Amino acid sequence: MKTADIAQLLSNVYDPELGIDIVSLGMLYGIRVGERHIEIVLTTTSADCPMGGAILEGAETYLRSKTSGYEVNVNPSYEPPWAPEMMDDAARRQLGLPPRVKASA
Amino acid sequence: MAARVSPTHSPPLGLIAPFFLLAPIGLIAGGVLLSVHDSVVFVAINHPHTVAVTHAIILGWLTTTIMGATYQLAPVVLGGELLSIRAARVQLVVHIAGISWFVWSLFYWNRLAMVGAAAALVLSFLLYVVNMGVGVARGTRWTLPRAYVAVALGFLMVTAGLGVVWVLNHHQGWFPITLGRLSAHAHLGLVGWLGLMVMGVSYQLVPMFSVINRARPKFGWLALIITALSVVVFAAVIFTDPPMWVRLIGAVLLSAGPVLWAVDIVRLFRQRSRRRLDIHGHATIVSLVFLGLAVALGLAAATGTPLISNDEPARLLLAYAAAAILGFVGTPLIGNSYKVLPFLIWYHRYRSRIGLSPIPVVDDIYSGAAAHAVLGLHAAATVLLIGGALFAQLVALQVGGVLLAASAAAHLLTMVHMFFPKQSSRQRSIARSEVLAR
Repeated sequence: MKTADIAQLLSNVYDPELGIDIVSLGMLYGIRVGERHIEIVLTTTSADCPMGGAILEGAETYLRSKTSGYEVNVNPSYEPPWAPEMMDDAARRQLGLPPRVKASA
Repeated sequence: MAARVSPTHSPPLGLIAPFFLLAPIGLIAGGVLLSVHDSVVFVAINHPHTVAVTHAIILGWLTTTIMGATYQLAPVVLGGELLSIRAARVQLVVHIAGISWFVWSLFYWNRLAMVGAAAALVLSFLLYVVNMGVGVARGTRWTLPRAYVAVALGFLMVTAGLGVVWVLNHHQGWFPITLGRLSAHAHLGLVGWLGLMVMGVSYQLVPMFSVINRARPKFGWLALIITALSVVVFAAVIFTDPPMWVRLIGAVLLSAGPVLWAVDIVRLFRQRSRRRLDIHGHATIVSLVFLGLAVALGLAAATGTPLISNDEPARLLLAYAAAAILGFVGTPLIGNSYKVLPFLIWYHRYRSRIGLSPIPVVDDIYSGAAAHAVLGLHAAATVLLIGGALFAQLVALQVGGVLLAASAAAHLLTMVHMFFPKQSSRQRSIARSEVLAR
């Protein structure tokens, strides 16, 4: 299993308040795939987000259901704190923000 | 680092939901009583029917909603568990019985019944304040919302204490209850209890729901200190039925804290990432507009001669009360109800299925269009009541009462509808390339 596959799977987990998937929101801080082990680092839009626990649990439950044979751990991290710049353009569009300005080549 | 707040210790939905579902009945009662009011409403702000309407709305609707919301808020965002869920359940029963009895006794001006009902209400407030006080004290850090809630709880008890003295005095006839003394009780409740609650909770909910990253309110602590001090000073001064210039200075002082808060909220909104405002954001903005109106009307009422007997002296005070109570305090509570209750329903009903099957998100629990219709109807009713009061138009006041009751009934129906099973209405798909290219 590759990290890109894990990211793809996690794009099916939504922030229930915003209705946007956690990958597009930029909440996915890290993926480590071992022999029989997957470790995920996630953040939430705020450490005070009451949905934070549900999002972390949801991501873990979903990955476990889709990656049989792997041990899955989802850990929270608030360093660096989440920032709007971490969202992709699709998420920004849903919140009514303009697309990110791309750096010129 | 672990999340600092969590709904894990959230009280059961069966405790919180009845507060939200019973509260609009207070507004329905207030609206219906207004719709059958006569022109005496423009002459005396302390007419029994007007006092009954005010308490039906303030205790029945606003206070009941705030109690339910804060029972939820304490463990989820303030970080402290309530002392007892059972005590909260008992409190709800005592509270609803006490309000119904109290409003009835005020409407028919039955002094003996007033004493009994007031005793029931004091018991309700004590149960609530002890339960919430423990929840607030158990919090992990002194955030702005926690400090506002703590101070507001104190003002609830002071307001209730003064109210009980007035009720006993009606029965015993110890001393005259002047309009100034009533005004002291009213402002301790309106600004000290309701105002501080709305202001404090908004410092938690506005950044959360509008996705404001690293929100740093500029005037939060200052607004709290100024509001708390000024309401004490104002109540002490207005208690003595002072001359106009003293009332005016008091009104200016009293406005300063809420105005600072409003400036802060506007600053926060400008920093939001969620550019498309939802019902909570719109309700908060409507509340700010009504606050501006309430400040202007309050200052006008203080400069006029409403505290002495002349032709229709209660008009400005009535308009001010409508703007402050229904507009400034009422509209954000409508907005909050479409966040707190759907969140609870989602958390208790769908959380365990996250990731396992398509589930609704919080927005799917309620209809945004219906919520906005309720907000619009309530705001229109409030404007009509303000206009009716200002221009002494009884028909406008009565129609405003009907609209108010209709908006409350619609609010109640939309909240009941939230409990019906929901399906995910959106099959959102972010293009794979967009995800993988990150």
